[in-house]
Amino acid sequence: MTATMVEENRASVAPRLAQQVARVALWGATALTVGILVFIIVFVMRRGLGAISWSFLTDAPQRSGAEGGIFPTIVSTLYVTLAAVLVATPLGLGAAIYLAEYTTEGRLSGIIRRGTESLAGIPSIIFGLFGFAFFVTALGMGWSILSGGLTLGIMILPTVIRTSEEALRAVPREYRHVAQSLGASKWDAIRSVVLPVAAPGVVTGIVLGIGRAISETAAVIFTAGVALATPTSPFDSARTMSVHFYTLTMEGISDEQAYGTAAVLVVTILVINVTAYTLMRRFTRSLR
Amino acid sequence: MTVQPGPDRIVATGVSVRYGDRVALQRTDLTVDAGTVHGIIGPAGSGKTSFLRTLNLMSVELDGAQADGSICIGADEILSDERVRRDPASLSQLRRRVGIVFATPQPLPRSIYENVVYGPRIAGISDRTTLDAIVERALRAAHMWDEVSDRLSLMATRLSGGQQQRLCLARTLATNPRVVLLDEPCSGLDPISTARIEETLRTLKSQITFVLVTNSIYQAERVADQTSFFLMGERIETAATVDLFARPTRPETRDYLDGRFG
Repeated sequence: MTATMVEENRASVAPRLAQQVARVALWGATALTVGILVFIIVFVMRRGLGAISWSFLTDAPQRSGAEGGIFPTIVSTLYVTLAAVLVATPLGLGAAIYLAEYTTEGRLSGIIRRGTESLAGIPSIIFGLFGFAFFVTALGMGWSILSGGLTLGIMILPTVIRTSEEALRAVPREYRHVAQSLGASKWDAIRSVVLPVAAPGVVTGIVLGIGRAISETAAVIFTAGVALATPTSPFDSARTMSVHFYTLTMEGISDEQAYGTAAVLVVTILVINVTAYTLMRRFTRSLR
Repeated sequence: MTVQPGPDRIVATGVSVRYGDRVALQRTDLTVDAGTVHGIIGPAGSGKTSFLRTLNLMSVELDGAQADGSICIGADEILSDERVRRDPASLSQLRRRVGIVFATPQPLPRSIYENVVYGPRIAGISDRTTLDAIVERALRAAHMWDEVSDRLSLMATRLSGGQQQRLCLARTLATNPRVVLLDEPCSGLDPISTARIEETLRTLKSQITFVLVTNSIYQAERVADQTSFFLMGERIETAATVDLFARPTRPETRDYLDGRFG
């Protein structure tokens, strides 16, 4: 009896204070997060926007990038990222389908899942070294868009697998039962009912992967190289925007050009994110 | 237009269903005559849903159940002591022949039209005129055509619960089944939708054999030609519905039926 009264007392006074503390703390955390993001973007833009012009986007670099534009690095970035997505999407989605639909939770799926998660924790420079040793040297692909794309593809694989698997698991079991009760095989049900419903989640995983791949430096510098020419085949070496930025700053070539490159990179990432989520929202609405 | 294949007779002999160690149904015999509505009543846990879901092997394929005994649908033995047919092709064929409607409405997140043509499309029908005809026929049979014929592209999830369930019935009918299993199809439905679904069973039973698991003994009384009473994993008795309700021979049945007055 006494215990309950004490409980009730505490319940009537403490929560109000706790509420307020929690509200301030949570609001503060949110504001700080957004603030840091805004600060970084503003910082990069203020230093970079001055360098950006139409010719900066469309011209080839002069004098190792000290003058001229960054056109080849924009093209290289898009190619390498595209190659990474082309590698990671089928592999990642396939693995996710296997994990979510075809295995019961057991030792094998545990090993696969832990392996995937460990893969996510490996520093990108290690992927770079692996890509250099395996794709560039052992398989003889040289510094190329192909080597870079394959390396980045493996690097973003965990993100794609994880997000896709969660999206697949979120699809109600009933949908599969309905499909199979109407004569669909298990694969028919996955292909025609489960995947369309899970698509927005899968796209999220791919977009997160793109975000990681497009801004990656360490893994790319070892595998795609630093050539400044516009690549014309998957076997050409290519310098991505982030590698270009790194080179310009580290070798003291041009800070202005470096921040210009950074600004273009940031805008590219923002555009990709916004476009992907807009498309996704439209797609989801058409499903509802 | 496809010709209705005609209803099948169902003969179940010594059918047992287990989920791991738990026995849901014990050595049950039951014959359902072709072209009738067969009601199955009984309290929760009586094994009626397990029996129903074994008639198209969904319990075995999807719920992790083990089934023994023999089930013949028409001339086809779908379950026998020696083997359960589990290859995908014959399972697909079985599901088209023995359709099912679930207890809660389960529309797929797509349009009314796409819901109805799901089964036919999976079966390989892609001709637009044929599909249009199937949709109209199935929705008419489920007494829904007049309500939705002008908005077939509407998301099925936007329909009311009763409409969704009739859509699910139409979707099942669209694969031209010879048998349709209904698992408490009207639990939680409005009276009008319930009446329409019952009307569909009465109209179509000359072409389709219906097995109706129901929690409502009134519903069994209204539509079932024969009714079986299940209790604790066993079939207690089966009789023509009027006889079962007027003169139950087993005391368990009498007690259960008396429950409606008490």
